[in-house]
Amino acid sequence: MEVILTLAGIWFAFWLLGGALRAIGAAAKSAVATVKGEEPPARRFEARVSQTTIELKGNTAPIFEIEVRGPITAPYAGFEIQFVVHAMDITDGEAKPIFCALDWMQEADTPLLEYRTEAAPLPYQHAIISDWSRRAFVPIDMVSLPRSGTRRLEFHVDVVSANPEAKYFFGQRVSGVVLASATVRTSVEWAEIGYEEMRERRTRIEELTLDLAMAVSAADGSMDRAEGAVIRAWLGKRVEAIEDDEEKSREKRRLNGLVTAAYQKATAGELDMRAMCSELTEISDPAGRYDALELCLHVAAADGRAEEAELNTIRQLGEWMRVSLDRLRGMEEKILPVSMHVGDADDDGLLGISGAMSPEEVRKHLNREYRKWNSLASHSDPSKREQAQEMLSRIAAARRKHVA
Amino acid sequence: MGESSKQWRYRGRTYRPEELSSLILRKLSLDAESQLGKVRDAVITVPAYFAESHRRATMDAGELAGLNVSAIINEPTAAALFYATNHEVNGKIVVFDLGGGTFDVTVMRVAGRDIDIIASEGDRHLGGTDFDRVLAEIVNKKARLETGAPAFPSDIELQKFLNQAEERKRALTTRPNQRVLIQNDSGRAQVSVSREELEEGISPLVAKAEMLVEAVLDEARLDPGEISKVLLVGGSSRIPFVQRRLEAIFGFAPVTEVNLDEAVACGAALYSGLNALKENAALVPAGVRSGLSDVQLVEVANHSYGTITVSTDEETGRRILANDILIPKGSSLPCSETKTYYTMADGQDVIEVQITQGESKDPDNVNIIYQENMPLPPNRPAGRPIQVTYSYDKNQRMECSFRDVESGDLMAVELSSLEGALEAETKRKSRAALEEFQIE
Ligand SMILES: Nc1ncnc2c1ncn2[C@@H]1O[C@H](COP(=O)(O)OP(=O)(O)OP(=O)(O)O)[C@@H](O)[C@H]1O
Ligand SMILES: [Mg+2]
Repeated sequence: MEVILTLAGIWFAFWLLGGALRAIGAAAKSAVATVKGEEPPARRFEARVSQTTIELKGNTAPIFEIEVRGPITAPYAGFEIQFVVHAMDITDGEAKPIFCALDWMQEADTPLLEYRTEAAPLPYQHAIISDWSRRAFVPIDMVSLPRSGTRRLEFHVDVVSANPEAKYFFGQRVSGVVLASATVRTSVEWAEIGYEEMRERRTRIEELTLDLAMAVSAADGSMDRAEGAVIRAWLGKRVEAIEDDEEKSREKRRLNGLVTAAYQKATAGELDMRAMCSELTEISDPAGRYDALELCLHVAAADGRAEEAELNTIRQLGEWMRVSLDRLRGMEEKILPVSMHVGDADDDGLLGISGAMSPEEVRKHLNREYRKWNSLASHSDPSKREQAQEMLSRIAAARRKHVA
Repeated sequence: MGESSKQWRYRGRTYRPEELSSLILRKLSLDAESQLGKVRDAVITVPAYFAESHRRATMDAGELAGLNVSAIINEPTAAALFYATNHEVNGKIVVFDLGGGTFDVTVMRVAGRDIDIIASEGDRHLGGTDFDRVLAEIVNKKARLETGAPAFPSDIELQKFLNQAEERKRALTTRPNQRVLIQNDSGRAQVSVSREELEEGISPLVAKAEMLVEAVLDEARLDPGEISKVLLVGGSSRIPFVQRRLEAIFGFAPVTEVNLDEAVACGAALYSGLNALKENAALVPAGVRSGLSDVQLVEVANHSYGTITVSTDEETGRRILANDILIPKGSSLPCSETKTYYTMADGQDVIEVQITQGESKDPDNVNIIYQENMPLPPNRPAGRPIQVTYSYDKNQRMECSFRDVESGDLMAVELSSLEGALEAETKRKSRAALEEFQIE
């Protein structure tokens, strides 16, 4: 987050600097030649785009540089104009939007990329920019494309009336007057994951999460009502934030489909938990992995009993997902407190003792755990106090077992 | 104590813990009065781990017993005070107090008569009565083996046996075996319990004490080798097995020559003498005065105190509520800490002031001991600084202030264990009801 903020700050400074450059350019006027009373040279207004870098406060930042040249005709000399740049990703046949993370480089009502110069008067009614002249730059790190790979981008430059200002919505002009415009295409190698891929990933993460929860639910041999209710509640939370009714029901249908599929896979014994975990680890950030584990824990807790098989399954999932096992244990202590445990399973898993620890490490670990639970023994919540007492007894028993 | 949910029924009325405690205090002060004449002021000792609410309930109990409670001090401090005024002590000592129902362990630095508490831990459910129960279980099990029926088929019978169990347990401190006569459905039988069997039975409980001893050393960042003495306090530390386990940790035997049962009370008496000396030296007899003159006590905060804040989870990058500690457990008293927090939202016109007690970062795992909304000036952007100051004095009195830096608005809270928690009216009613227990 901090990195982004710093970058955003630098870009803001750069944008102001850009304003200064334009002012200098306008003062020199050398690039703008006029032909009074004659026809302007028969050249079109055109644009070109290149990828380059810019040096800013010691940082090198990659940018798309957009240059223009050619004639611009205004209703009268001194007419206030602006250059406005939009971009679309046209790789997949249809034009897909390109978003920008900097809010001052966005359309007024959407997060779509829009670069707009400050308003400046056109000195002559018929003006011409004779040499390629930079009019816009787009910070590459700040934009997001639909997908990664080789992408085809189309930049569109409009010279528009500044008064009243021309407005755009999803790249389409909705008000104002255009004096000149040009379109230019370029290809780019995009390494960053795209927003469509992100959405697909999210869907896949949801799917894997549900599959894992179903697998955990099936681990004790049966799937019961309470477990179903937990999964439904989880789905419910995902749709409740959606305001649009139609979208809500579409999302509900989609999620219900995922559940049905997960159920079928689980009952058919088709779920390979290890493979699911490694895929999840690959495509999801830690938050998504903890979410999946949390749902699994709630599913295991649904019937009010934590069977050893369920606990071991979830701990195994945690290992496969390479999450912090300490943190997972903390979640387990909350969702599946020791009072829910059934059978007299070995307490080592519950207490976070691993076979790799030396007796001295076990001793230190148990002392730490003891202190943690002892401070909970005076919690205002009686169930917390009870849990703490139980854990203290088990920790003491573990000490007897592991420490001479 | 200090848990309003706990109540006992007796003859159609329910009693709060503080009320029951007041009866004991009353009995004690009457006993003292029979020797000393009118008793007015009292210093009451409490386990070091007692939290705010427990201390306040203790104040209430004292008041209900008709006493003016001039101070509440920690038991290990009192024990060490007593020891240090009678012995030449220099270095770090551990006070190990295993009583009837609770266990307390404290590390302190003693130089002559200056006592600095370094760290303290306690378990409120560990003591002699647990050992009595262990002995009863052993008897029960053996009876079942020998007679085919348990010794105590019901809880009532078990309860009855516990008194006897205590006696047997004590006897096992000096003798290798004890015989218990039982009568159950299969008739009479004699069950013998050896000291080893009792030791085996209580060892998981003693392991708890061992862990707290090690925990408190960890907390004080000390190795057992750096401790020069281990002082035993409390009746249950007479048990040889307990002493052996301590020796195993420290490499030397604990000090047994102090009066285990009275060290705390004597220390409290010394403490009240100290107070009296400061207030009115004439009240203190000359002989006592010289012994008191140069004692210095430094206590520590026995819990961490903090506030609930919004922070970013390092691993997931998500915003979470977290308990942020201002005064960590073990801080020497008096102490004061100020931290600046910032408002989160544009136009935020209120903050929820929460004072927590507990060690965890997880808000669910700490106690909220104070909660109130503090209004802020409207229409301001996010990021306005709020300065939070916690000050904790020697009498375990804490002052917390939340200050909106820009407007100067202040919300100050005083949390004092020297003030009871009960309303005056409740106290009056309680006192009236407790009259019935007057012992003449
Ligand atoms: N010789 C002994 N062997 C074993 N236990 C003993 C012996 N003498 C006393 N005790 C036990 O000590 C306990 C009482 O200790 P103490 O008087 O220190 O407790 P307390 O201060 O009243 O309780 P607490 O400190 O837990 O509030 C009883 O459980 C008693 O059985
Ligand atoms: Mg005691």
